[in-house]
Amino acid sequence: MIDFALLGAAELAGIVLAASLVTIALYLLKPRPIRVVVPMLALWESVLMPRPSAALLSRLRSVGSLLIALLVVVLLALARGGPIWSARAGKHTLVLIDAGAHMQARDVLPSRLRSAIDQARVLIDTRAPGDQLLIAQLDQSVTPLSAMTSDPRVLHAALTALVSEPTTTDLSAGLRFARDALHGRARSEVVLISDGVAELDPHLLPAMKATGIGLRQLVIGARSENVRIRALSARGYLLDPSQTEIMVEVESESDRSLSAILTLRSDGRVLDSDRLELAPHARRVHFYDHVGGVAENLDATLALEGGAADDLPGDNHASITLPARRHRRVLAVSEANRYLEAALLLDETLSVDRIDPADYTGAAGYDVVVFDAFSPDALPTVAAIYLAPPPGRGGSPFEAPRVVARPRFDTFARDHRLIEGLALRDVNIAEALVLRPSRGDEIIAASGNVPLLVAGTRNARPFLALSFDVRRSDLPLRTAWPLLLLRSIEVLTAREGETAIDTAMHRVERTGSASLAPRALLPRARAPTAPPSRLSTLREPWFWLIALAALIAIVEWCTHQRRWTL
Amino acid sequence: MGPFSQPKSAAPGDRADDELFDDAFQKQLELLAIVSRRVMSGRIRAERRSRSLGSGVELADFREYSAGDDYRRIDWNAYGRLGRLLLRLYETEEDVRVDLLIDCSRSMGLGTPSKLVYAKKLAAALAYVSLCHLDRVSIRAFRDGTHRTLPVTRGKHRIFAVFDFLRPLRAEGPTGLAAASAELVAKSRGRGIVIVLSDLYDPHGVERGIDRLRHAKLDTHVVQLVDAEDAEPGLRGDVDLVDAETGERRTVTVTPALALRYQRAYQARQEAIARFCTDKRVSLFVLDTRVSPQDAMLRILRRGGLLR
Repeated sequence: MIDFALLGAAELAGIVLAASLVTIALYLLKPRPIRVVVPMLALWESVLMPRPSAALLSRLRSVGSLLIALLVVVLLALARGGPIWSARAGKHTLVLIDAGAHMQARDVLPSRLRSAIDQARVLIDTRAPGDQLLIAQLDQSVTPLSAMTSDPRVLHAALTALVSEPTTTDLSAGLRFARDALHGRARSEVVLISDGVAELDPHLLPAMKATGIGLRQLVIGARSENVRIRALSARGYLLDPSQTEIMVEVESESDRSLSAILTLRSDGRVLDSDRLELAPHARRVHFYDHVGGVAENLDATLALEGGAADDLPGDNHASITLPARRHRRVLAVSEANRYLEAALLLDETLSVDRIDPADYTGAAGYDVVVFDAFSPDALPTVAAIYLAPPPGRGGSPFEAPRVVARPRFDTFARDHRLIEGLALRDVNIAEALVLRPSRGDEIIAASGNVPLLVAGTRNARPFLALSFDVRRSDLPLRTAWPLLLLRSIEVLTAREGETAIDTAMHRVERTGSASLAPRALLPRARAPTAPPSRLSTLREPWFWLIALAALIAIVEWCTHQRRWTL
Repeated sequence: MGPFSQPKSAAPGDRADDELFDDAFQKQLELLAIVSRRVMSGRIRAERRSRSLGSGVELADFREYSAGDDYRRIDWNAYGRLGRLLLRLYETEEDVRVDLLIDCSRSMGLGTPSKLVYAKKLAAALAYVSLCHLDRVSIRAFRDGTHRTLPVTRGKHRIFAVFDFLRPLRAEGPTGLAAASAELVAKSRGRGIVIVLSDLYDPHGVERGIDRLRHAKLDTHVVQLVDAEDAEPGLRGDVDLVDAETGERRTVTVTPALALRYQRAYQARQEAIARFCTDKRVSLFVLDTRVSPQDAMLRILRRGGLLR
């Protein structure tokens, strides 16, 4: 039995029908016999068969020629259909080519990915007649690049569409795709062409084996002489946001000791450069303290000393982007409160102007105003911080009918970012105003039911109020005081979408399998090397169809010469 | 310029007819004569030797003197030798009537040049030779019956009339030698020479026509004109054969085997005609039109004894 791999039944029938119609049309349109005038037809009649017999024979010859021509046309059309022997209509192979970032390693020149593509080409050229392949790219997901076909032109063209992705490889996704793509197909298998640096659900392999789908891997890669940056993180100091603490984690996959240069840059400017001695397969964490001048972009680069080749240079670089530190203008309306001034001066991004309460006329042009034991006549038009605001004036956010003595921070709003990490419970306070919050205000900290720290909105502007004079407490002597004050300014002046906290850690880390060393996640397959034998062509049905058509054409030509056919 | 001076015709075909003889051919024809194999009785003394004894100058025979014979004819030398009185007998030259039958049927139009053109040239040459010898010449163009007739004419100067008669003849219609022969026999008086110029493709057969001429005691000569393609048409494949005279058609596939069978059939027919003529003592000349009319006249016909 013969099946047809290149054309479907309808297409094949269409081609045969069209070719047959063309043949019949050409036959009908063939030139008429030439007219020859002879002196005596009777002489010809004496040697010709009787007319009826001759006419019948001529018709038989004519029909015979047409049938022979149609037979040749049909054989050629069938050969075009890509016939294959049904007995060997055989394997359905999904070729998964790993295109993850690690496949850019150069331990196999020019790269592991190029080597994988070459292996795939050999796989295509050495497949058995009747075998069909499907080419797919595997990285974090699966991208089919061809249909299931035995046409080598389609398969080779699919390989040219393969593009490396800067991601890891999820083999589990590849196997799930294989299970779906090969479902119901006879003699199916998966050939993974990869270095094995991939994520794989360990429960998936037994499930795949249970489906009967064959699993093979062509392992790509020879070694792993690689150094890389595993992680990069940075954070600002709480009390000195202008300084940054940086952590870099590096790793060596080499079997020998290596020397490498680790360079930190911020916006292209070198911050630091260190020479590291890496033991075989060593992993090291390197800290940089109080690094000043770190701008928005922070880069770390690792290079082997002396320019030695690294198998995968792509993982020798890491970068993070820090939130931009915006400058703000602060108006401090205060009478010589050194604690306030000192706290404000800690943040170099703040521009602080101090005026006496009597000189206050408004806070236009400032981002935030700090009223220290002062309430203006009118509510400010900017964000405001009130420190023990005296009631009774139009600019005071609260009514405060009385004072409470010796309050203590004993009640806190849960997980509020303003007070997170601050030790306030043991702050001694002489006295505090009993603030009467309005609806919508948030009590962040209290002494019992006496609000000590309140946040809210007045005149469509946010505010924060501390109900006691810090000079009548030991809060200024605590670390919490400048932190509370500076955090308050950050919160009150944060723009929409900005992260108010800039002291969190920023980190980039390579997830997944760390080592670049090639490994077999699936049963190893022998790499195909031998090109197909020329003799294999003799086993192809198309060869015999064309040979038969040629033989018939030759026989017809010979018979035509003898006028057995027309 | 030869003895002929004639105006050039306008048509190329006519010009071909005009150029029947060149000077050299004319001079050779002057020396030839048509020899008839039988003794003809003629009315006017011409340049033909006759077997009748008369007052010619050529010594023909001797006989015994009889009373009343002309004694001036006694051969005294013979008397001196033999002691007998013997009379000299002399040949009498007679004129001969020559009838040319030219086949103008459609089959004569085949070939390159056509057999009819060849026949015209041959007829003109034969007529000229006969006229040169003061023979009487008549030409009949026949198809199925007589088509046109040039009445009996005599004298070299009458060659122009022969040309004018031959020139417009065209190959049309079927062949009918029997009818033409019957008409000739009915109109001729006495004996003479008949030369049939034809390709002998008569659907009714040529035997009857030839027999009619023989039975009329006419010295009959048949000149069969054959074209090379008649014997070997060189056809292959599908051809639509059309009979030149009847228009009958037949589509055949000419294979090498069929072509060979045709050639054999043609050869058999030629042999049958030759046998017939031999049996009837009719001289048959088969002329291939590839041979020039001049060569035909000078070599073949002379070899055949038609000319001397």
